[in-house]
Amino acid sequence: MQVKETYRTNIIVGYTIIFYVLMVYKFFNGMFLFQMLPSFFYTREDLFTWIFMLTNFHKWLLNNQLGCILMDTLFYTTPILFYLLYNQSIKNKTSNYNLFNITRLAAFIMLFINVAYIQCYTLYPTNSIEAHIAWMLFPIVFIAKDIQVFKLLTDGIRYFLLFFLMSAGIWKITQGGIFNTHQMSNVLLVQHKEILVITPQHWYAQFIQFLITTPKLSYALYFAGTIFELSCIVGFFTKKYDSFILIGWLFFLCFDHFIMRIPYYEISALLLPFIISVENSNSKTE
Amino acid sequence: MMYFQQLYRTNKLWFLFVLIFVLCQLFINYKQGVTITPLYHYGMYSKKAESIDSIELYTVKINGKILQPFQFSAQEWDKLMLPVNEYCNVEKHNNDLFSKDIKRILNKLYLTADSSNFVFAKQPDVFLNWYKKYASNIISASINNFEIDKITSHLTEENGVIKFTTVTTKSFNRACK
Repeated sequence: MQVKETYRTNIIVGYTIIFYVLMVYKFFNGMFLFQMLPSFFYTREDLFTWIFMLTNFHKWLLNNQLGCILMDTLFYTTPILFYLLYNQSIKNKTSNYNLFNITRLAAFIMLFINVAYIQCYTLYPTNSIEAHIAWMLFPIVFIAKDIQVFKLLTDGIRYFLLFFLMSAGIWKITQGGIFNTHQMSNVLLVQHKEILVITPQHWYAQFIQFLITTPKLSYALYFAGTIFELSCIVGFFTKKYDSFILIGWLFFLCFDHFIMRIPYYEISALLLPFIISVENSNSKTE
Repeated sequence: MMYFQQLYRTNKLWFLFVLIFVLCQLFINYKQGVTITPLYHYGMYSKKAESIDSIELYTVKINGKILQPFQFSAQEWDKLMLPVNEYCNVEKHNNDLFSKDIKRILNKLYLTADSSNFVFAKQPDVFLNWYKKYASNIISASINNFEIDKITSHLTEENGVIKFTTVTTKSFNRACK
């Protein structure tokens, strides 16, 4: 099937919308770098991070309000600037071919800024770096010039999410979590220790207590999650079940927030290849 | 395979890029050790969680009242508690990682690893001063007095109810020594 430019436009618009919805969410939860103003860092087991840390950039940002504002500004403005440049290049494609190359350069700069920002942001005790992977992968896709390559790289992101989920299921087998019938009860106990000790009478604490003391039920949730993760292997062979994977993933995000109190929405952009297809984009153009 | 064939036919450079990415991702997963951005492990609570009979946690008391999780969003609560939970252990963690892996691996790459880039000395008093301002911004109130305690609680289960009995309480300064 021929891939039209509308497909790229839809993916870029989708990326920009998700990015800015999350930006608003993070702002109101005080999750911008300047709102957190970190004072110490936690070195993770990552070779790239170690090389990055040799620059001392992460230390420069400690207790540095102005530096943090600068990084927030760069991180949160590049996607909209990139989108505007891309939009302009689409409008003037025939008259100004160079503009498209500038757009690709902008994607490269966005990649550079995103990597630097995320490296620092996740060195301070906030979020895991894994959740931010979408912001490091999509700019690479945006660098592609040819629409066919763009489509194939976006497919690559789809495969990546499938791998992400499937490998989580395999890890549960190799690390033994799935063979422990008290796994979820024990995880919940550690995850919600403050809630259970400080506010034991709260309805949510009671609910978590119920799950902990009913290991069959909590394990069933863990088991169901693992089965969902493993079943994602089907996505490598067909796109027929993409809507089920999408629904399953959305359920996972909601349950992660409700049961674990882990807002993992940062990963949402990886769902774009499951939401926007070439067929849909083409039919809209026609 | 079809995907790689298509990519190979369309653009050999991107094919090589994706192929290297995939092979490295598989290798990182196989080795189960140090990761390399953007290649990570996605374990998500896969490690066997053992049963415990006691638990350690920090409580933050501001202006005479202990902070309660449901006064804040999940993100805000993490922002309040994660620095407290991690600060005391972070020096040891960073130090251990530096002497065990960082120095060795960076030296292999002919890079000079200076410990000051990866490690910092904990200073509980400095942290507490910083935390006072930090927490004040999150709770949107001025802080007249505050204390952080580390509690060790013993847990027992009776008729489907978990009971926590505080065994020891230490001040943040003492816990951080």
